Amino acid sequence: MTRALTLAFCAALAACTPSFASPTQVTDLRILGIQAEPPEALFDAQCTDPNDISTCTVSNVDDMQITILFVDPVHPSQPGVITPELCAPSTTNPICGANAVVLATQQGPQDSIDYSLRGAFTGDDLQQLPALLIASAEASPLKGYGGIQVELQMGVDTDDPYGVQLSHKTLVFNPRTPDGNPNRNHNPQVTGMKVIDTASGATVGVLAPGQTLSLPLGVEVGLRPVLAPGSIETYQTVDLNGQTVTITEDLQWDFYSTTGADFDNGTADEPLPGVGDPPLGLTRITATAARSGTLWAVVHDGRGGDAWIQLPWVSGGNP
Amino acid sequence: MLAALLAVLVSLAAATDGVREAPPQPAEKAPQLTRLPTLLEFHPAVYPPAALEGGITADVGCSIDIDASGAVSQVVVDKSASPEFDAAAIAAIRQFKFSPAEFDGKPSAVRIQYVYHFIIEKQPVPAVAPPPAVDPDAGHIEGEIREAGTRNPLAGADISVVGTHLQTSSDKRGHFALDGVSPGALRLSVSLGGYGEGTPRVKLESRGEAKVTVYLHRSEPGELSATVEGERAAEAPTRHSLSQAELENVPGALNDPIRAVQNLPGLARAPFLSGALIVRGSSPADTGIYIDGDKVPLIFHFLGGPSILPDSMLERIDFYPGGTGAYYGRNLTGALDVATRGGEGSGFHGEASVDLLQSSLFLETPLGDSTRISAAVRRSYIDVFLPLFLKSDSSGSTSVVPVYYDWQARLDHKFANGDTLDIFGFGSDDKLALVQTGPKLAQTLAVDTHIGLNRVHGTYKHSFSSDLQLTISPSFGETTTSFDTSGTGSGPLGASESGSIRDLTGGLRSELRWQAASFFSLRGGVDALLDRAVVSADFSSGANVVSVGTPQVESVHLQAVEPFQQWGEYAEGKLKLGKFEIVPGMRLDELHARGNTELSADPRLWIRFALTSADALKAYAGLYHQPPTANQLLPQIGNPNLGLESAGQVGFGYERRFSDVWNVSIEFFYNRQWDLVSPVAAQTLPNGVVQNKIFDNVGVGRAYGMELLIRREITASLYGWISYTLSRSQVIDKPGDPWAAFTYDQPHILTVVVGWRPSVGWELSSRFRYTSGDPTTPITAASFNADSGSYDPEKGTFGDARSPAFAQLDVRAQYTWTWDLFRLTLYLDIQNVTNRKNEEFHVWDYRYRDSGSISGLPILPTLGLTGKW
Repeated sequence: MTRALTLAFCAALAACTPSFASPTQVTDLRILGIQAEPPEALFDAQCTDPNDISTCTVSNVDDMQITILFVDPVHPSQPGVITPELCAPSTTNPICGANAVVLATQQGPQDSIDYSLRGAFTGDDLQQLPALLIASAEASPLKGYGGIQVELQMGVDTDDPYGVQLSHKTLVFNPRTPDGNPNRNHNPQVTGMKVIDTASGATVGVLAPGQTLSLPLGVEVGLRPVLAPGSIETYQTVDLNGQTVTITEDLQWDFYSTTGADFDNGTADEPLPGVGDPPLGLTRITATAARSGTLWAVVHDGRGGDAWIQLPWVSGGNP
Repeated sequence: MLAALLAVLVSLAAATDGVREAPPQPAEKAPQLTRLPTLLEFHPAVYPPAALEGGITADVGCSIDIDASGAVSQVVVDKSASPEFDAAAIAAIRQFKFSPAEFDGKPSAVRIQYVYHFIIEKQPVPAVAPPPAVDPDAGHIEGEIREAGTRNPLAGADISVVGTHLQTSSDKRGHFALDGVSPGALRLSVSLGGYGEGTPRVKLESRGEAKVTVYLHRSEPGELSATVEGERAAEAPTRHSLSQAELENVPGALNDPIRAVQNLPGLARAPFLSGALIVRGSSPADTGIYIDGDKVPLIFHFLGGPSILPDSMLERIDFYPGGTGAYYGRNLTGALDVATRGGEGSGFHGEASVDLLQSSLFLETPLGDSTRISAAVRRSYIDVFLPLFLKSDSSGSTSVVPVYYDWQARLDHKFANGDTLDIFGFGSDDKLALVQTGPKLAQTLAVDTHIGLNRVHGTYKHSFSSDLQLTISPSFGETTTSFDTSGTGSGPLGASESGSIRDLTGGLRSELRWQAASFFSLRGGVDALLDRAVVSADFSSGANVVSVGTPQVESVHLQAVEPFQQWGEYAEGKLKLGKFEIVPGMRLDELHARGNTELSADPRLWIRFALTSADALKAYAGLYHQPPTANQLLPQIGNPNLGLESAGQVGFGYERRFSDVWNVSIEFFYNRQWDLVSPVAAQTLPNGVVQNKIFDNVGVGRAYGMELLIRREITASLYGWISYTLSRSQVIDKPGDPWAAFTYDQPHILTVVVGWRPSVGWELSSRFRYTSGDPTTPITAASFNADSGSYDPEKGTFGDARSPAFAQLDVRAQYTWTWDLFRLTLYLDIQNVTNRKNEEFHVWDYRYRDSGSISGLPILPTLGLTGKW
């Protein structure tokens, strides 16, 4: 009952909300996604008391490759300066306070910067990682149940007038199990973008990452990101009531574009396996100006896994 | 937009879902007027010499207080002619002798309106007046005097045969009879204070009989008003009562009598059209709402619709903002008691009403001398014309079908031994269906919700003696709630869900009242409520799954039969010691649910000290407990081991009655709540077990403030009040948190209501309301959450910022046309007549750099037509 009314309430709010800038439009410095590969890192733990994380010795922590997707269309050639920090989860904002582990500053061109998490620890600071895992588990009411969550906070600076933009991502760590962690999470993979003619409902083609999308000016074009097989994982877990349940990941998409084209849906849910796609794609894009730009589709799997596809687009005038 | 707006109202109406059924509590019935006073001795006034010489006539309108013996105790001039006429009228009226009015068959004091007509007649006075000769052909005239429009009988009307000495008065049934009337074409003169004169023609045959019914039209605005000396039994030191006349026409209440209560002190403004009762800064679920003693789980139709009880079925509403005695239980804060009215004692009456959203019908009639029945039904018809306004294009279509109806029926019977029985049944039904289709959706989106309620309760009263009365009130009912949604596929809002709850309720209330001595009375009773809820639901929930960013959901199947038993016992004494009135009470409650038993003992005390006959001090203190709601106790979505919520209330105040119509009251209160049910996060215990209570009794709240009410009681032409509340309300949701403002903490609440009847037929009323803005959370910055794709704001403490203050002016005008048998009323009610944009929600853009408002309703006119007979 409450969900049904929530649905109606959300629809109502959308209709009555003042006209704000659309989140799909990238007009200045924006962080669009952060990926950790693997999204679930494993470690070895020897514990005196298996129910007390503070008695554990943590070692052999998997490395993670961190990739951050950011764009500043106002300063396209300005490199980004990334200032990463790691900390235990908190309810404050910014998430990481004075006790955070400060990592090495990263720098690189826009679109994406990636670096090794372990490599970002300067000097002997890497020794702090096991202690940080234990501290993060103790800081959580669940004490690491379902995975130890450590917060990675990153500031991005491209000389944007608003200054350093903050972002944060939850890194998930789990102890290695004898059965090989069969429910371990993996990042989804986006292999392409299906393009749909909304007038006929027919698929025009599938673009690979980096291929250019041609948008007739003023014409709505359907888009449907394509996932690699196995991207939607089904896993077993024990819920908070102690019940073992089988869950299929609920993937959620976010869509972005530079100015000159806009989406009618900024977010969309990935249909469950066995449920058909909407005939006109998960979202529709319309070019509003004869120019070129870039669009992104970012997917989140709800377990710390992320991926995206980036496509340049061009709109050359009247259809 | 309209569909979206209606959907908002659905969600707001759902805010009252948390009101839980609790013990039925029959509202104390107001004494019933069973006999009007009749003028037995008329004393002519001394005509002011100067006026008589000048040929000046006048009418002096008065309010006459008649005591239980029929003597005039007070005369107050309402409509003055001149000091000389006024003094002459007062002097004469003081010598009048009446037969006393009777309430429930007992002589009682009463107040009536009376117009003394000073008329100059020039007649020759015969030196010797011979006795009237007896006409051998004389006949008989009889008939009835009734009020035009209502057809109510009028007692005390003077009837005379023009040109003769023959005169009489109508009795309590409006009947009159004249004997010894000479035959011919005659004219009668019928007059009664407050009414225009009637002069019907009658043709009387020789030694014949003639019957006539005369309808008198009002010449003064307003109804005959009657004030009962002495108080009804008070259930608390503070009680605000609104009569039907006040409830009917308060503007801004959308013709809804329950909403009219929101204008009293102690009530915060609810958002949009919501009728939620937010009393002394507490949750709406903390105030019990009763209809004739039966606590109802819902009081409003959704979509911001009216309450489930139309004004035609209401007699009175009593509102207790706090400090209730042992009579009311299982509420943390206050109580609202709606008293329904029995059918009229004479004739067949009815009322039909039509406006832009709904139609209603009300009928009542006596069955013999001892029984009356009444019934009403109402239905909305938004579903008929709303689809006309919803667009449908190639991208899809949306249809929203809201339907509601309600019904009421009542039977009142008086037994030969004086016992009374009333049986009241009522019910409501709300359905909302929303369907969206289109090629952009993988599946049709459909939302179907339904809430239904049906109840029957009876009240039997028996008097063993004048000092010992017994009341027994059984009740039975059923409440059903269901929802069904099917969506576009995956995702937390798209998965198909369904659920239903069917709750059977049976209750029994019984009370014994004993007037042990002139200074001491005692009452005690039992209060039992048995519920059996059958719950079935299939839905998706992420509450129990560890997720990162976007919630991961699992399918939940809920199937349960949940019996709840609530037993209550109470006792309360009233001790009058000189100027002191002391009321101690104790209430014991037991809750049995899911194998657990919760016990509570609630001592309560209130004291009144009469400084003079016109003013008094009062003080109260008490403990209150309230059980969790049913869904909070369900496994999988709640915590079956929840305990009772608790509250302590203290207060003191002063009341003064300046005149028969003006009074003022001021009250200071402090409420402290603890063991409040709050959501809690799951945690891993030291033994490695994950504990997921979902809810726990860890919340704390406090509210304190002052309430001021300046009131003019309703009379013929004027009523109104000014209410002002200055208060704070704060909560701590879980240990370790600081005090934060309650969601509807409104430090200043000012309401001014005025109703005026400038002439017969017209009624004008207005309401002005000013409240502090709702508390909000200041936001200074935001950080991008890469797991969810949204921004997390950097927030201060809730309540450190506020929306702009709310101010609104509502007006209402209505005119009533009156014919002999029928009345027709046309009304125009305009909410927010200045079209002020009041902020209801403060909203931010996606990254908290820009903000704006969602405003409340703009100017909203409502036009309606009501016919009564």
